[in-house]
Amino acid sequence: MSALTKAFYFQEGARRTGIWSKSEPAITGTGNLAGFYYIDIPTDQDVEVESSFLSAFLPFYVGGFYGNNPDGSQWIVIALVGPFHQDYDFVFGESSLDTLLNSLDRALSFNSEAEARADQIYKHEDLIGIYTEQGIDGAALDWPTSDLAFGLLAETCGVPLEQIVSGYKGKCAYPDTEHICESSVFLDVFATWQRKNTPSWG
Amino acid sequence: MRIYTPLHGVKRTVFRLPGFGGAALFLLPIAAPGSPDTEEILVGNYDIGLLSPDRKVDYLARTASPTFISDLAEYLWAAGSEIHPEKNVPDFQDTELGLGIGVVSSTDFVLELQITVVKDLGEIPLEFDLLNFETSRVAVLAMSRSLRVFDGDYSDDFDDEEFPE
Repeated sequence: MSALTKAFYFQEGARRTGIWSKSEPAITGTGNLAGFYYIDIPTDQDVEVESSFLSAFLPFYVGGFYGNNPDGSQWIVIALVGPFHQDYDFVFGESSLDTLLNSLDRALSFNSEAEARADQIYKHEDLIGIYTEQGIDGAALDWPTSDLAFGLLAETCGVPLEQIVSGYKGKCAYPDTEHICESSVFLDVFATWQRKNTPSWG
Repeated sequence: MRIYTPLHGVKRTVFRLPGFGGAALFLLPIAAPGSPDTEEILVGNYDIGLLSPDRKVDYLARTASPTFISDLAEYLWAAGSEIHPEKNVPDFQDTELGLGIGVVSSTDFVLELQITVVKDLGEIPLEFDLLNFETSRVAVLAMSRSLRVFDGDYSDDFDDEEFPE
């Protein structure tokens, strides 16, 4: 089970139906703050449209995934990566966490029926900790915070973090398998999952 | 004297047709007194909202034609379920409200809509505010369904013969 799947206590039988990501995160570098937010989406909304709609209003978003529960309720998990500063007077007197939360609140104000239910907030070193818990050498993880967050999203596609880390430098998740390579270990995982799980038409 | 107390917890009905990439059409119904010239005590007014990632515009308190809700529900149902709505479904127009909707193009799953709002109903020649966006057929049909329910129509959308019990 992936770290995010564990963290959010998904309902038994919950099914993911899509994943999406931004090709270039707005915030690069290390030492940033990553927030993963679980958002309830009403049953009569199209969760694929809503994930695209929501992320258009989130300047710090890097990606996310969405799906449904056996009772028909739907959800989105969205990842935001913003700058982390100890100084509370960084911008508009907001803390780093408020910066992420306020952007989410604003985005959700355009869909009053969607509701943020849970969050998981990680500093850069917390994310490194998730990787090292799985036996990965933390010294090898000189990645930007956004890539560490991408790695957790990729892990939810059923690919172990170890495989993601080993494919990072070579920009390929499946070096021993014939596949359409996306030239990024994360995009490779996302695209392969999407191809396997989306019915092909025409 | 009665002190006004807000109705906490009561959600206002807002019709929202969202699109990919952060676009949406909002319709907020508000009852308003009818004109003294007519027998209508109340009329249906609407706030029309257009949203995109860099713009939010509201046109407030516009009166719609009496059949606006059912006409729009019917149009959206046809647009969402017709194979080639851009060819076979005539554009929607409510001239009293100053709102138009057309399908520009379609695929099996996605429709590109063009929303047209008359900027000032009292001005000649008319000027239009346009918003084009892509959305899913599911979202269009869901909006149709919620309009029908608002209009008091809870009937089944599907042909019983097509889905025998």
